[in-house]
Amino acid sequence: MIIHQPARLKIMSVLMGLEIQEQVDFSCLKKMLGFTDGNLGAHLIKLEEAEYLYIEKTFVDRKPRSFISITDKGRRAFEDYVAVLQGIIKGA
Amino acid sequence: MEMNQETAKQQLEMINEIKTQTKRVVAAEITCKYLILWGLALILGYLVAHVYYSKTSQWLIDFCGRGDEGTIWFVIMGVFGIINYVITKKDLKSGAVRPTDSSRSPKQMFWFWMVLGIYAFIALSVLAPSKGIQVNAFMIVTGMFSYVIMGIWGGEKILIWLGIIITANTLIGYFILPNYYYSIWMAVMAGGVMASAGLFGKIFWAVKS
Repeated sequence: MIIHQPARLKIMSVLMGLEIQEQVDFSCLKKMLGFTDGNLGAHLIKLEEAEYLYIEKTFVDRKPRSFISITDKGRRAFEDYVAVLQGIIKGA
Repeated sequence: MEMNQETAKQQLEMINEIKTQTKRVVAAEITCKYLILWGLALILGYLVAHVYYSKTSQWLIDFCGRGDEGTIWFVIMGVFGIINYVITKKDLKSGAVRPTDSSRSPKQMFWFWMVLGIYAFIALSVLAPSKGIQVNAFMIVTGMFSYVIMGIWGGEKILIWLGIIITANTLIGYFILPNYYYSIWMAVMAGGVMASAGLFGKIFWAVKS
């Protein structure tokens, strides 16, 4: 399960905290989670490969910027994972 | 996936904590700057109104209400509306959190406030005649109602609390205080509270670099 890894679970939690049609800047995400560029980038690639998130690469004032948003598939996977956690807590 | 109850509980707590933190960061990045902006607009509007009416006889204010404040508010809301537009335009381009479809969210917000204004005007027309102070209190309470609704739908608690507190302050200013002190009360207890809430979020919720 891709989300089970702690760093990726944190990334997905942030994205789930956004509104459905919102995206967050790479730098902001990095600061929120306290990750390094390389660490965050590696986990984002894993999640993008699983089609759990979408990375929009663009230029703002001629500087490259990346904005990350969760996909419907990612949202469903996260909700399933949370349901599993709740099941374990209830002793199911 | 092997996991015991304690670990599952810890993970759920972490998820909820991160989600709450994210809501706060989004509020600090987007909502709070608008709270500061419109808080300042209210402070300015009420202070100008107070100075204007302090030059008018008290018995006349009590007898007629506060008269037509429309021009003062029309100019101030227009100027701050333009500033609002500039900030939104900049945020859509380079904000840390932005909508995936940059054209949709501001349009929705624009039409939301337009429709609210039109319906408030219709309600006032139905309820007329009304004194200036009534119109003012009604518009603020209507605006705060929309804050509470937006807060409930968007999960932004700051908007819910702000809407409730400013509504309560408006009712105190309208029903309890003498008309003469209404503007100065509202400058502090509506505009001041709104700007302070925005400032609080900006200082304590923003992502530290």
